[in-house]
Amino acid sequence: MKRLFLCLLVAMPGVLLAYPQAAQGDPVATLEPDHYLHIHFNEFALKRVDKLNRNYTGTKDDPHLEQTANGVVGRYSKAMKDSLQVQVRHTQSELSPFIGVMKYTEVRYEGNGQCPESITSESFEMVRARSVTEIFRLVQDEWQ
Amino acid sequence: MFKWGARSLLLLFMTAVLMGAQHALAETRTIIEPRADNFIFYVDNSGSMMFDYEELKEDKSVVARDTLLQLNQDIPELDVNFGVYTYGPYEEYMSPSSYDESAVAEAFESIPVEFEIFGRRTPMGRDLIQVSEKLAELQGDIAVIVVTDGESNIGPHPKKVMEEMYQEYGDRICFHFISLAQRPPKGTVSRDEHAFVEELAGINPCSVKIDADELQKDFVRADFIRDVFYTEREETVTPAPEPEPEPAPAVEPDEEVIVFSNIQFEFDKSVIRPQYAEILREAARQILDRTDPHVVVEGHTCNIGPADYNMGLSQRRADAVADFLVEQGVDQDAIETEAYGLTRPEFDNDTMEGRQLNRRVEMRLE
Repeated sequence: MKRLFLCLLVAMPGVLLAYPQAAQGDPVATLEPDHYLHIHFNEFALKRVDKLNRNYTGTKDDPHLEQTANGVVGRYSKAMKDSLQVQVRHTQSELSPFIGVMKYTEVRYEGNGQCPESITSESFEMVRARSVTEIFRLVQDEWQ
Repeated sequence: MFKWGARSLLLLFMTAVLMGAQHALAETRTIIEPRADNFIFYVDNSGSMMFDYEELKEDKSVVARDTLLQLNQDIPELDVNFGVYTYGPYEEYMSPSSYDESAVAEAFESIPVEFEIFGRRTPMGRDLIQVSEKLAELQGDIAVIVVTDGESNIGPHPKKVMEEMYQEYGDRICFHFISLAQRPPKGTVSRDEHAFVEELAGINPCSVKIDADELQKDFVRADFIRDVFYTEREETVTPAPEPEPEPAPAVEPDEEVIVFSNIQFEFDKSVIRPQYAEILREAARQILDRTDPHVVVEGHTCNIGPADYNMGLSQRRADAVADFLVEQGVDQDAIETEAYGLTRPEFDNDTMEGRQLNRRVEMRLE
């Protein structure tokens, strides 16, 4: 029991040290991927992509339908999580000492039909793919 | 003497692994709980609200309206009732009903901001008695948010009315204050409006009091909303096993865009807040890295407010961002601005998250 207690006591700092404080680097320096803040921002960026995907006007299961002169257009968009790239930079600003840059591919699909019922999953084609960059600042351990 | 044996080292290693694994498995999520079941806005609409609020150089009635609209935008979706009343004169703009952001915004926008000053007294206490009759029908806890400039010049003293309401409702009720009070000029004997509001807020320690100019700061507003409207608690959950990710299609983007839905402007203005400058500087750096860049800056809004108003606002914001890029060295001739107002929502305007995402500026790089 005493040995177990002492092991826990020694192990704790080792676990805490897995998340070191952000180092003060060169101005406008890019942080390494294993840096705490890079990992932190990557987690934020993944949640951000989830947020985008649950808020688009249309989804694959429930596309947004719009009446046109020629019938109905179904539309949905998706942010591709697998395309996500992130970078964290140390800046010279006191108000925003760290900024996080995330980049992902956003695709839009459209399908046409005479009426909503005629639009099936096979009707949809990709009509737009754009590379989207979003930039955030770190404020008290929160990316804004 | 403590000796490091092989068994001790193995135990140490396993403990560290287990603690790391525990951290990886557990997830926390934030649960929002409203602080009351009913939130009632009680807004001064008397003649004194037509005077200037010195701190913001604007009529108090306009500051009150704009502050309430901004608060409404920032309040999370809560399963509570909201009601909106004015005094001086007494009017019900929204009877207590399930919170709906657009309905509350409409109620706030319906409160007049221009009216005759003379003859329009401030019966804060008297009209509060009428509101109290409405509150008697409500179940659960009640928070009354009073928007006041520190005046009450006819009818019973509001302090007496509030004390009686505290006695009647007990712990179920709390009054909070958004103050447009101003200190009297030095050397005058005018009433100290600040002291009046402090006196009312001091009746019960539950009260939160804030000056309207402070609410223009987004972090102050966020704190106020948390102190008045909701609490947060962390809940640890074990996440469900993640489904297999779908294979990524080979997609080659044919457009490039930088999107900002997080840049805050002064409310209803197009002035970029200084804390967001570094974000825009990074965007400018990315543009300047390109050979012969051409940028189209697009302004977009959510669907709250009239279409022409949103069109104008989105144009002003696109212009503000474009001006900033020019200051950072981007060639003015390489920048165009376009305003779309609420006409091109990418996200669902029926949710607060969707509306926040729709309020965006996009820089299309060509």
